[in-house]
Amino acid sequence: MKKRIKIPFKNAVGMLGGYAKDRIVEQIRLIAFIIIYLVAFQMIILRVPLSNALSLAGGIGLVVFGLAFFLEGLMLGLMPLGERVGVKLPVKFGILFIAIFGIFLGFGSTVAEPAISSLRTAGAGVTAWDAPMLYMLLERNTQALVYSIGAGVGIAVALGMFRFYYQLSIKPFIYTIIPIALALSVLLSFDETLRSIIGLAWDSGAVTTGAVTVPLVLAMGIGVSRAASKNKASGGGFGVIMLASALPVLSVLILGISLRSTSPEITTEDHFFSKENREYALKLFDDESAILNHAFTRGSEIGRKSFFADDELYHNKLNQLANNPKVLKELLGSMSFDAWLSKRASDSERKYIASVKTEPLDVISGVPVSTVLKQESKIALQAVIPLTLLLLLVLLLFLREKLRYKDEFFLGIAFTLVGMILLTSGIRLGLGPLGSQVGAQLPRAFSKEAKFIDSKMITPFDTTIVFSTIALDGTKKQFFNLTEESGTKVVEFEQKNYDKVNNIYEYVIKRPPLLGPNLTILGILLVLLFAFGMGFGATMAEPALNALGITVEELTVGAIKRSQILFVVSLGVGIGLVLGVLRILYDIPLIWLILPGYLILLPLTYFSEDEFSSMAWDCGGVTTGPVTVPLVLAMGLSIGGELNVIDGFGILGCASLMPIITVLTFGLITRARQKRIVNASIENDDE
Amino acid sequence: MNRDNAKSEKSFSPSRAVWKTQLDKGTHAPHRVSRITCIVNKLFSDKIVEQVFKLGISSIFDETGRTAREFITPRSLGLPGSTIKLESTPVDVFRFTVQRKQARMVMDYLVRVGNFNIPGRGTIFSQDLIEFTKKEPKFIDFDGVDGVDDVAHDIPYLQKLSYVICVLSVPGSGEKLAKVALDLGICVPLITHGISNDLRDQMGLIRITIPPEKEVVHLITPEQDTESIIKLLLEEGRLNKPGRGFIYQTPISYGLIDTRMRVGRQQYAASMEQIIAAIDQLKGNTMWRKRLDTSDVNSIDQQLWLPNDNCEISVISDEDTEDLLKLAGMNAGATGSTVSRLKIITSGAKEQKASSLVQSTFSVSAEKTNDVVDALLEHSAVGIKASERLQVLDSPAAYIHTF
Repeated sequence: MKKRIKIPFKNAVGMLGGYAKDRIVEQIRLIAFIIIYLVAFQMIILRVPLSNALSLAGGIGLVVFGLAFFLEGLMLGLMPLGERVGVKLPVKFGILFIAIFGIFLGFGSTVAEPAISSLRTAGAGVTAWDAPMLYMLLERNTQALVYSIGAGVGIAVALGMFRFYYQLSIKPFIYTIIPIALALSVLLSFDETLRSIIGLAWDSGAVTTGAVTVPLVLAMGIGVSRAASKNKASGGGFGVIMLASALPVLSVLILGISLRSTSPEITTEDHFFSKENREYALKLFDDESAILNHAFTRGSEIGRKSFFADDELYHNKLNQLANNPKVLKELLGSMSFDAWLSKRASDSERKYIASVKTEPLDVISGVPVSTVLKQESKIALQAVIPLTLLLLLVLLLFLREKLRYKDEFFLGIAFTLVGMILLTSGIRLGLGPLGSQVGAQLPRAFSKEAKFIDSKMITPFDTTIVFSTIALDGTKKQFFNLTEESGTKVVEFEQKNYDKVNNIYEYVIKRPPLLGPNLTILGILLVLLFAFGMGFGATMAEPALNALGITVEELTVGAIKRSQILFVVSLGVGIGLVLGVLRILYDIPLIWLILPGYLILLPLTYFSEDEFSSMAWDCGGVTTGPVTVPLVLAMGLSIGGELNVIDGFGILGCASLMPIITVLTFGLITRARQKRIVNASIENDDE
Repeated sequence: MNRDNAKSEKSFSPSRAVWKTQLDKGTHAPHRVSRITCIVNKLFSDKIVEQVFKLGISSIFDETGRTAREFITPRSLGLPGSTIKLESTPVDVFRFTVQRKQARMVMDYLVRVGNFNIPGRGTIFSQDLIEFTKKEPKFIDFDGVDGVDDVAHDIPYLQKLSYVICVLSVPGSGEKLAKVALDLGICVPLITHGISNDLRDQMGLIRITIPPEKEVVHLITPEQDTESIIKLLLEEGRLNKPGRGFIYQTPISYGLIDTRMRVGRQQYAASMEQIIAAIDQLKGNTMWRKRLDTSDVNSIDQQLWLPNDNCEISVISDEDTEDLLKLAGMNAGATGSTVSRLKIITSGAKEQKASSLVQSTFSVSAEKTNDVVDALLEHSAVGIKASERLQVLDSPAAYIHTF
């Protein structure tokens, strides 16, 4: 055996430097588009300066390093481990053991990964009276929802291994599962109560397979496929992600059907909060204070008044809300007082609070970086360690195989953990807030009127500072000069905002429409363009998709490049987001988008090669990950909130559907080009 | 190294020496076989596999690869001229062995059913080698095969060809060399992937900075031009720098080569490839083609040419014995190995649940060949498992730069 080569320190530093530089530059290249896009859109099109630019920049820096570490960690540690387990399993054990292991793996990874929090974020606007079933699943029966999704993923992984073991084509699975899911969705759309969970079901399928699960399950599938297959039908390892995205749709729909009888019926807000309905309302909440919290955080003045049924009690509570931090926390939870005033409070409530508020309440200005890092570290450990230990256990104890390149493996796991912490922290501190800033301004693009943002009380107000102006058409207006921290500006004086008795003027800050009241269609097009660009850019940076792209390039020996896959999938997600936004803007029932989409997919799948079909359907499952989801939800909630849409579900489902179409189409085009070589050779044959 | 030396030393064959030595030992019986390689577009893989099984050949080794061609398309927006883009086509590389005396018949049959005589359909060639395996390839009864009567036996195969294999360490350099091959009009290059950890294993954790994946570029060149082509490839791929890869060649007995290097609009009634292919067929060889002039390529260090009587030793084994075999081979004198992933496709009702297979390829100098073969035979399951085998093939030239 040759002696170990001693690399001089200087050379080693050079090698490490080059290695690190390549990876970081690659991630900068992938994430640059979405960052520049969001910043440019905010500053040039929406004409709103970025706030907390330094914090955003820091967060984005964390995202870049996080992605670099995470992907490298996957390549060094998790994926080789998954592939080795996959290769050895069919040799030493039968299909029963493999399937049981698959169930554990799928279920465990779902419970460990924080995908459910994305669903709850998407359902942040869900109201218990408009969508009781949906609210019940998201807030009341959360464990049941998690377990049903986990069961779906577990069965999916087991089925996937079964498919590789017996070298079955993916197509029969697609033609069975998808039509059943579609049929159930259509059926549920006729039930007023169950209709609301259709979006949740399809979005559950989209979010389940996270950044750690995807590469692991993919690598394992490749290993099992390699070991077990003698022909090409099994698809080379792809197809499990598709199953893990489709089966949870079924499991959530079935869960909804099973809980139908326990759900209260849809009712009005007024009736829901009334004392007569209290018994039914308590099916969805632990106690009355939880119901009251819901009335404040998601309801309107109607609901709150109905809860108290007595004006004095109601006003007392408003008084306490304005002046007592403890009551504020009880009533609003994590929502800030300013956010409540601008989004939930009615004009009369705002005026009342302004009149009774004695002193400003302490504003919590955001979570410190150390807290974010601590929280994300906990989530990362939870996502990575149990899965890794499970696989190691199987490899070392059951398969009795040694770990190759131990040092590389442990380094890879460390990289994965560090990468995930940096990535998710960076998203929370940088990319997410950037997306929220842009998302919050987005509705201006299609709003016809100015929208209330905030109000400030000026007291005592000296009316002598008010001056008049006259326009060319003779219209008179009154203004006054207001001095704030940022400087002095001229503000329009409105008589209705002046309280003569108390000498208080309510200065209302409104968000003007971006393009004026008559250019709403252009505004909508702008929003759609934004959605497309954001979907495209965010998807390019998705780590799970990058891992899939690398795998595709390796398996096809470079015939299909990673960059091609990234481009085609990102294009699909962009188109999917446009559809998702259209759904929210025009309140299109989700089934009208999903059904035609999948009906196009089924014949496309039929005409595609088996290997390509598996890969294309997997592409749909990996798109919605830690980079795309927060941005998409920020945009969806903002637009939905503007239009008072019940929930933001369906966008992620649309974002998963379209990439499958674009990838299958790409596959057909590629095959046509291959056939062109062959057909050209037949035409030129001189026989 | 020059042609004259190669000619005079042709009578010495390291693989024949191995055959004699191993025959005398009697532990593992060597067989003199022909290995037939078919490089086929994936669209036709199933058909070729079916036809091979029809002949009674029970197992085929399949490696995935891609071929690179230039696609000529008109410029968009009606602008004059055309654009040339390098595009890849996924292919299957099928390899199987047959008895030497039947190789020609098998090739004739496959050329007919696979239309390998048509440019763009693929490449097929035969190489004579020594194989150690559990059973000698069985005798094929052509009388029982449908369609064998329609097979022509006067196919003008090309003779005097070399199979040049370039193992490249730098990612992306495969396409560069493929472009060189296409520009020179050599052949349609095949690119596969391999893994080589020999250098990495000696470096500790810093090895993560060197990717283990290698790109392997396979070219089929006229024998008289091989040396010049290798020199050009060494310069283009900068393989004269340490750690960037190596090149070696093995002889091809005869074959039909895919010459469809360009697809798309052509200016004349026949493309250059069609003309070259037609003349090759008329002449029955490539000797008529103008020799490449590489006298200006001086940068190659002559000391780094390995002696011109090397061997390529390939071991097909289960993946879990890969490390053991590599260690055994290197202890016996091999400089290292390149590992490729293979699938074995078997016919009949046999349920062969094999683990994935790998092919470990060693390039070894003549004096070490017997030792390496002994070591590999000792540590492998050749002779026990039907799927495992060891093949020894002469390699007249190799170039490698070491630390």
